[in-house]
Amino acid sequence: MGGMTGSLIFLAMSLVLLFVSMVRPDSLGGLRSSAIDKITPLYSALSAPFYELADILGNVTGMAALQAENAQLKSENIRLREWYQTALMLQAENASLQELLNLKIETPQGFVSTRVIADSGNAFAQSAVVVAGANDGVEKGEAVLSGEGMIGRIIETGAVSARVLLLTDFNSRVPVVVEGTRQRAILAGTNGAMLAITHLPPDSNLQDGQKMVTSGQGGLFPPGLPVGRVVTTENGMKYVKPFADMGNVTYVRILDLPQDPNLIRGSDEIEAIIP
Amino acid sequence: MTVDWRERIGWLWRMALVQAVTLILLILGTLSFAIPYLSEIRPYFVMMAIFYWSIYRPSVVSPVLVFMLGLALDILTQAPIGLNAFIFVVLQWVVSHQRVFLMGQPYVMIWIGFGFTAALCASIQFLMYLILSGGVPLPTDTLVASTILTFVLFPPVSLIFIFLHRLLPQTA
Repeated sequence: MGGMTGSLIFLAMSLVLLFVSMVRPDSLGGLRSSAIDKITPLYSALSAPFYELADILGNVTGMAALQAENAQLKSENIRLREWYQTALMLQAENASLQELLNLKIETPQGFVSTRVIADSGNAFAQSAVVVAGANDGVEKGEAVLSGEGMIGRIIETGAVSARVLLLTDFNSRVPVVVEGTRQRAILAGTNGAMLAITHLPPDSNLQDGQKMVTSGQGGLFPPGLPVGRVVTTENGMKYVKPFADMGNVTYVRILDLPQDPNLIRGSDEIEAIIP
Repeated sequence: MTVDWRERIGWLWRMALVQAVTLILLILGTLSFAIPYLSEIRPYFVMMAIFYWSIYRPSVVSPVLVFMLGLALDILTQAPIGLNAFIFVVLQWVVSHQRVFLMGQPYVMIWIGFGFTAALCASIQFLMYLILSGGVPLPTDTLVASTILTFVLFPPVSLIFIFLHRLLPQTA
């Protein structure tokens, strides 16, 4: 009989906790980040063998593919070398033109690179834990990118770890602009693989394959971060498929918060030349 | 008959080993493997441990322990706090009340019973999330896939429990 009372007590306790997390979702946030902080060394230790295993497996199974890949990379390298020269030329030209205009461009974004050690592992929340925290200068709200594009933003920071809310999470909202146009929209997570496009003007004409980049509106993310590509699903609705594969990210880059993206400070030198 | 203290210590570390395995299963459920789809479709390892021990050795999974396990999982996975705690306490309660019946069944029946239990837990998750989020349904395809994976992986994981079970003393 004692077991039954115990069960009932804990049932009631969990229901109370559920109620608290429903009414005040943020009240237990500090508990989460400190708990994740404590467990981070264990996570790192446990995930290390899996990463090594993945590396070894990749090396073993990749041998046959390597030769073909090598040939392809060589030809690509030749092409990229030409692009490199073009880029150098354009960079020099851009620098000299900027100097002519006395244009002050925003300072380049600082960033921290780190590894993903844990993910939500369920359907409720699309999030991941990275091994970089307040000690490394990571702040709440910062944009997180993988090699392919944006994957989300920091929602909680501990001392040595931080949690990333992925773009696909139901609570995620990102202001974007359709590349090459001035059409702005908000991308909302759906807990599925696609992002819903909201707040798009009704007269806008989206085409499949158009790229969405962050607009920088709201000042949280720097403008121009690649987010995803417009696709049409079977039911005829337009969605955005993120460039990054959220479930398969190992290393990420956390960008510092922009200083103030809406203010570009002019050079002081201009006063000197006005008499 | 007094129990030798050495035997007592032997039991203690065996009990500790059982709990350690449960904890490792809990962490495995939240670790990132950088494998496509695995971050959403992840078997509920801890559920297997709670199910197995509730039938064969209820003293290993007390209500307070499963509550703490659920709470830890909620904290680590960003699920609403209390959700997994609730599910685990219900699971432990229901299964330990059926244990006399289940213990007499062949393994296949236990496995099928586990499948039903996993489906029940997934349904509770779905319903709870629906209520908590104010009408947002969870993606059912990932939930169903996770449940099926949990069902399929039960026999291999339960081999570990059977091994641990043999280590445990007859009376504990």
